[in-house]
Amino acid sequence: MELIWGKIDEIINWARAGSLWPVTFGLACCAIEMMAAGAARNDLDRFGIIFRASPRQADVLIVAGTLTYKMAPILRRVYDQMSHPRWVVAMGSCACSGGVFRTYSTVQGVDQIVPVDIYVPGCPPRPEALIEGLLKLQKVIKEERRNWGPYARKSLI
Amino acid sequence: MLTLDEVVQRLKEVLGDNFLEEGEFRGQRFVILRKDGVKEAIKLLKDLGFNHLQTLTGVDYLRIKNRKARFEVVYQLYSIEKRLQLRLRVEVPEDDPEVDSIVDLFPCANFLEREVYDLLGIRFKGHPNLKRILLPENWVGHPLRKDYPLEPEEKPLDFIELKKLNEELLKYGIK
Repeated sequence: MELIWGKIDEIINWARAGSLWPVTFGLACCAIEMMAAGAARNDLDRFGIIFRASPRQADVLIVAGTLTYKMAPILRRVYDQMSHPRWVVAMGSCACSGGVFRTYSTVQGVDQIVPVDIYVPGCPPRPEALIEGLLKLQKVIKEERRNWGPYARKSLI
Repeated sequence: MLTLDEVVQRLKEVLGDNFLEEGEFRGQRFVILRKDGVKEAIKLLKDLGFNHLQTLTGVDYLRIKNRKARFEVVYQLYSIEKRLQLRLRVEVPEDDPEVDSIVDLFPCANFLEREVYDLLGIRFKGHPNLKRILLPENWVGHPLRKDYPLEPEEKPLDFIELKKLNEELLKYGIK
């Protein structure tokens, strides 16, 4: 029985990791690198990663840039609008820890308000770094167990 | 042809006591005024042909020696036809930080005055819509004042709520 569940896990994780659709949440210069990663030269499409401008139909939230206190409720709302399963990538020093902006208006790391799966440091990180981060995320997804159907719902209660 | 010397002379005549000082810094003329004379001065300059308000900003001179007033509001005026530029610096004391608004003379001052109010806490008398423009509406304090802490202890209320919500959800294993 365990073998069957394991196989089902494998198939579902393979499908999820192979078609990650990130919602774009570009806040600063990191967004330019994110666009570069999605464009022709670095081409995220070859990993099945296609940018989707709607949170309702996306799996990954890439927070690219400085998050201010004014923007924080909006980030949380976009995250809440995404359907399960969902993952978050914090892109850049600002999203990871506040970066150089240790000031009155900057959130010191987006992990204070949304759970983050992958941190990509850099100021801004090169497209290669973002690709590395997303490949790491695919690895994380492939190692998930029982994150589907009634099991997933059980973990939500 | 009107020259800057004549303009400054006219200002001196019309303003009288409200005119404090004149000077030059790196080829740029400036005059320092008392805050009661702002509106009069700008009205006069506008009549003389200064038809472009380049910028309007505020400065905090906290703990700087030989200064009577803590704040200063700076108006940078330009005459497009005559190619003249003049800077008005208006002293604003700490105990009564209020200046006359010039929105009725230069409509573009609307947002600039709101910005100065938001970041330095200088009020503008007669402004049609004086509220915060950059920071969230429930913000406490004025961050560009030099005695404002780098990172205040108290965070915005809605942020604290978000943080609590996130921690609570994580406690139940909900991502």
